[in-house]
Amino acid sequence: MSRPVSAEGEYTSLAGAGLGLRRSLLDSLADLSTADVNFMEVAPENWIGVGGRFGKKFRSYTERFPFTLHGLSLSIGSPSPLDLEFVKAVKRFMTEHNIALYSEHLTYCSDNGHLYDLLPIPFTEEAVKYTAARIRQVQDILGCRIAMENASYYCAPEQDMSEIDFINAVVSEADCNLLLDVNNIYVNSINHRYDPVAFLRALPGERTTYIHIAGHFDEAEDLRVDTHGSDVIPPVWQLLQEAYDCFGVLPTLLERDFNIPAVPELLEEVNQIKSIQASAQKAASGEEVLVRE
Amino acid sequence: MNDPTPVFQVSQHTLVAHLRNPNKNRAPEGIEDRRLNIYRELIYNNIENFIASGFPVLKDVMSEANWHAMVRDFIECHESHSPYFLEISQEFLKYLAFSYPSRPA
Repeated sequence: MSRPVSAEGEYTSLAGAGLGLRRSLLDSLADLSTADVNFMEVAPENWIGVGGRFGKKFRSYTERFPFTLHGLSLSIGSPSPLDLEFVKAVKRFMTEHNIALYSEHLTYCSDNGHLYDLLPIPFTEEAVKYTAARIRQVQDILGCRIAMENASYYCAPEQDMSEIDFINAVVSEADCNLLLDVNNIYVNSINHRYDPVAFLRALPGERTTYIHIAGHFDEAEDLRVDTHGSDVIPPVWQLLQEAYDCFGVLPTLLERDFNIPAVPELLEEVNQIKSIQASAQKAASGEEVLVRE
Repeated sequence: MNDPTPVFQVSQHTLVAHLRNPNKNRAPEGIEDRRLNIYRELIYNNIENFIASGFPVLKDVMSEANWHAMVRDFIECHESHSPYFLEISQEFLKYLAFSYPSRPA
């Protein structure tokens, strides 16, 4: 069966500024259009198999907005075998809702059973090979590249290599894409004491499908927790700007999972993404003019 | 003959065992405890929250100590195979039916 093609014919490619859709937002975002929010994202784990009233409402969103999936339970770095039934369910879900992009975290969340939280894969050569092979297996089943996210982490057991080398090695060996999370870079740069801009610049921009931005929690001066429960802070906005300067303007999505404010306040942050994108675009085309002259 | 478990997986099993039950399983060496504590709390609170919202009456009738002992036992002993968060309640029912109490009182 061929994939359904949307009327606009553009639903497979993301652009502009997006917002994570949550069950609690289904009613309050119902009147928005793609002029307000250019694309949306959900965790497939929260929607696969959901029918009835919620399923119908969700369908009304996937019919109106371009969507991307951001998974939580793939457990790509787990010592246990991949859950292939789950991967196939994701594939059916993508076809059913005409969603072309599946992203996941470069983490694991299970040993012999799920813990439902994301843990850091040990940064070792062996783990690179193992994880990359599993990403390739998922890509083979889905028939497309997936985007792996640079995840936040609070400790790094069994670390043989740097985080940046680990990410780059996995992405290159798996031949997959990157979901670049600027908040995670910021959080990790504090938690693990590195320069966030140097880290950002070392990521593979040409493989970056889209960007995530979010707020976090200050556990301590030197320890930040990636909660998605507060507003984006200025240094993280700055890192977004830096990412555009470095890699060009990329589709960017606001993640907000807790303490969700009223819609106008939420849209203010989405609009801030748009305005940073517009000024980066302008700066870039200005440079082009200069080069041509 | 099977290959030995890779070093990074041994480390994963150590970390996860500790997170499942920190009182019973030693923390991985050389890691600051407050950093591990973030994971301990994230995991416990998240799962406890899902079970509490799925079984409010059960939580109500149990003493707080027994409730938390049961949730801890679930996290430690039950292998949840469902990738779906909404099915954590079903995993908990399976635990109640087949494993609870998994250790003598």
